[in-house]
Amino acid sequence: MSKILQLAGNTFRETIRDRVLNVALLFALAMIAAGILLGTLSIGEDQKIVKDLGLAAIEFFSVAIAIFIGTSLLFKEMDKRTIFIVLAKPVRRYEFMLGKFLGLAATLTCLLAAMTAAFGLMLVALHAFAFALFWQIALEWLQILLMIALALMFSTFASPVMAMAYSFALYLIGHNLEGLRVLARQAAPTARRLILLLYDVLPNLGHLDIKNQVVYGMPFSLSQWCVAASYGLVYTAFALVVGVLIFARREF
Amino acid sequence: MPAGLQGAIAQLGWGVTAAVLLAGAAGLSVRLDAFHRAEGAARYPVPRAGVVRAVATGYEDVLADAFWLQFLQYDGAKLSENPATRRWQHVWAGLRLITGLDPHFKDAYLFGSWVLSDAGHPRQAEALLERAIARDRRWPAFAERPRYDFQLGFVRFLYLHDYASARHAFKRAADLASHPPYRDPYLEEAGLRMTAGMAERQDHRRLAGTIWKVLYRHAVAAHDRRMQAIAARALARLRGRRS
Amino acid sequence: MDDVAIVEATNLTKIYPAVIGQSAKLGLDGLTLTVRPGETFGLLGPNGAGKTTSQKLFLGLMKPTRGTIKVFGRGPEDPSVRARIGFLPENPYFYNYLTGEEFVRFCGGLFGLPRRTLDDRVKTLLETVGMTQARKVQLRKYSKGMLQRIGIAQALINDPDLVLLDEPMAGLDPVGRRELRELILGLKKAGKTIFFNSHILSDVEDICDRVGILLAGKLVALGTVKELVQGGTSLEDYFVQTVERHVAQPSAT
Repeated sequence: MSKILQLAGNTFRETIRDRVLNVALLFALAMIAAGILLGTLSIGEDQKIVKDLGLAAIEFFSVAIAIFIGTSLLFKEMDKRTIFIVLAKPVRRYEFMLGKFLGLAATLTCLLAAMTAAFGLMLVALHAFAFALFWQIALEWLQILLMIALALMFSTFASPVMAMAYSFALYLIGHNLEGLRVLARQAAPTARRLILLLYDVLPNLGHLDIKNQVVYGMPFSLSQWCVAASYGLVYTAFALVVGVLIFARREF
Repeated sequence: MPAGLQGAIAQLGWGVTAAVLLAGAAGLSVRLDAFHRAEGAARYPVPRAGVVRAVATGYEDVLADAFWLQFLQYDGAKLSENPATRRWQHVWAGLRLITGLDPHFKDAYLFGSWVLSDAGHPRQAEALLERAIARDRRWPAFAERPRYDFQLGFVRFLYLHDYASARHAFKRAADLASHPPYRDPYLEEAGLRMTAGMAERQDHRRLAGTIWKVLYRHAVAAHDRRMQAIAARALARLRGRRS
Repeated sequence: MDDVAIVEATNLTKIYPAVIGQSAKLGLDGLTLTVRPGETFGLLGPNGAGKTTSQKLFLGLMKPTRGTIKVFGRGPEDPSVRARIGFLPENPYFYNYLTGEEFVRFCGGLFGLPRRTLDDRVKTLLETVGMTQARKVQLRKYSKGMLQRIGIAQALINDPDLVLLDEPMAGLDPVGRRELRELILGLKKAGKTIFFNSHILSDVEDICDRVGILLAGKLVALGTVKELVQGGTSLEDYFVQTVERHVAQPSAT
C-alpha cells in the first residue's frame, strides 16, 4: 500500500503541475461566469441557465482533462524511460497502475473542488444556491474517476492519440446509449439481441447524469442515486482490472 | 545592405502579408453576410431535437439554453416587429427543438405559446402547451402543470374563441391548484373566475352561478373583502340577466 | 548461500514479435551464463547486440521467448528478487519536476524502506556520488553527468546485492569516468555482485573479473580478461578480431 501511495504521490505531483490544468480551470471559471451574463439576456429562467451552464462546464472540463492527462501518463513514463527505473524496483504492475490512477484522481478531485467552490460562491451571490446540485457534482466526480480508469486502460495498449480517441468516443457513446435502445427496437431479432447486449455492457454515463432533475429541483430517489454511484464505482474498478491485466502482459 | 536592416524589412514584409490576409478574410466575410441577407437569413435550418440529442452527450440542457437565448434575441425580436411574417414556422421548429432538449423548459412553453398565438398560429400554441402538460405528468411533485392548463385556456379563449374547451382547461387549472402538490390559491381563484367567465359566455348561467357561489364562500371564509364584492357583483349580474 | 549463482541464464532467448512494417527480430539467442556472488561481470558488444535485452530479462521487464532466467535462485517477476537489485538504465531520464533528493527518496520509497533508514541512505548516497550541493535542484536543470550520478544513487538506495549497470560510462567526461570506476571498485570491495553492459572496452578491462562478448544476440566469448587476451595484445584487439571473425562467417559459433 505504501508503494501505491508513493507512486500516487509522485503522479499527483507530476499532474498538478500540468499547465493544461490551469487553462481548464480558467475556461471553466469563465464559462461559469458567462452563465451570469447569459442569464441576464434571458427573460426569466436566468437561474436555470446559470445552473445548467455551471454543471455542464464543470463536467466537460474535468472529463476532458481526465482523458487528456490519463491517456498520456503511461506513454510519458515509457517515452522518458522512467518506467524502467520504477518497474525494476520491487513494484508490482498493479501497484504501478493503481498509483497512477489514484494520483491523477487526486489531481482531478482538486480541480473539481476548485470549480465547485467557485460555482457554489456564485450561486450564493445570485441567491440561486441549491444543495441538490451537489448530488450531480458527486456523480460528475464518479464520471471523472471512470474516465481516468478508461483512459488508463486504453493507454496500456494504444498510442496516446488513439487512446484519447477511444476514450472520447466511449464518453460520447456512454451518454447516448438511449439511442441504442431506440435502434434495437427497429432492428431484426438477432441484431436486436446484440444491440441490447452492447447497451448493457457499455459504460452508461447517462446513469451518472441527473442534471435536469437537480436544476429543476425535482425529486429523485436516493436509493437510485446510490445504485448509480455504485454503478460508477464498479465500472471504474472493472476498467482498472482490465487495464492491469493488459499492462501486466506488456514488455518494456 | 546591413543584415539587421534586411531582417527588419523581411519582418515588415510578413507583417504586411498578414495584415493583407486578415483584411481579405474580413472582406470575404462581409460579402458572405450580404449573401445571407439576400437569402433572407431565416433560411438557416433548425435541427430536429432527436438529431441534436444524439450529439449532445449529456449537455442537452445547456444546448436548450443556448437555443433559447438565440430564440429570444433573434426570432423573438423579429416576430414582435412583424408578427405576421412567415418566420413563425421557424419559431415553431425552434420551440420544438428547445423543449425537445429540455422537456421542463417552462418559459419556452409559456412565452412560446404567446409568441405563436400573436403570430396567428394559436393551434400550434395549443399543441405546444399540450406537449408541456403531457411531459410534466411524469413529475407530478414538481411541475408547472396548472399554469400550462391556465395558459392553454387563455389561448383557446383569446385566440381560438373556443369557450367550451377553454373552460375545461381553466377548470383543470383551478382543480389542480386547489390541493397539493400544485397548491396555488391565486391560480385556483383565477382559474375558477375564468371558468365562470367561459360558462357565462356560453350562456351556461347556472354553472357560472354555481362557480361564483363557491368563490363567494371561499372569500367569506378567507375574509377576503375584495373577492367577496367581485363575486357578489357577478352573482347580481347573473340574476339580472336571468330575469 | 555463497555458492548460489546470483544470475543464472539458461538458453535465454528473446524474439521480438513482428509488428506491422517490421519482421520478427532476434534480440537474444540462447544466452547461457552464470554470474557468481561477488563477481564483477562485463557484458561487451556493439550496439544492438542484445546487452540491454539481457538486463531487461534479468529484471523481468521482458519475458523470455525461450529458456529460463533465475536471479538469486528465483524468477525476476518475484518482487523480493528485485528488492535485492540495483539498476541504472542507459541514458537515464528521470522525473523532471523532482529535485535530485526527492527523486532518490521516491525510489527508496518504492522499496518500502523505513523512514529513518531512508533518511540516512539518501544523505550518504548523495555524498558518495557528490550531489549533496545540487540535491535541492530540479532534475531538469541537471547536466548529463549529474543525471548519471543521481542514477547511481537511486540504484544503490536499497543497498543491493546485485547491481545492474547499462552503459554506465556513456556520456561521461574522463573525470566522471574515473570517479565512476572508483565507485564501482568500492562496491566490489564491499562484496557486491556487479553486472554491467558496455561497448567501451578500456573501462571494462581493469574492473571486470570476467567478461562476455555478445554479437547479434549470441554469446561468442566468455572468460576472464586474462584468458581472452592470451592471443592478442589487448581486450580491444581481441574484441575486434572476434567481431570480424563472426561477421565473416556468421554461422560459426
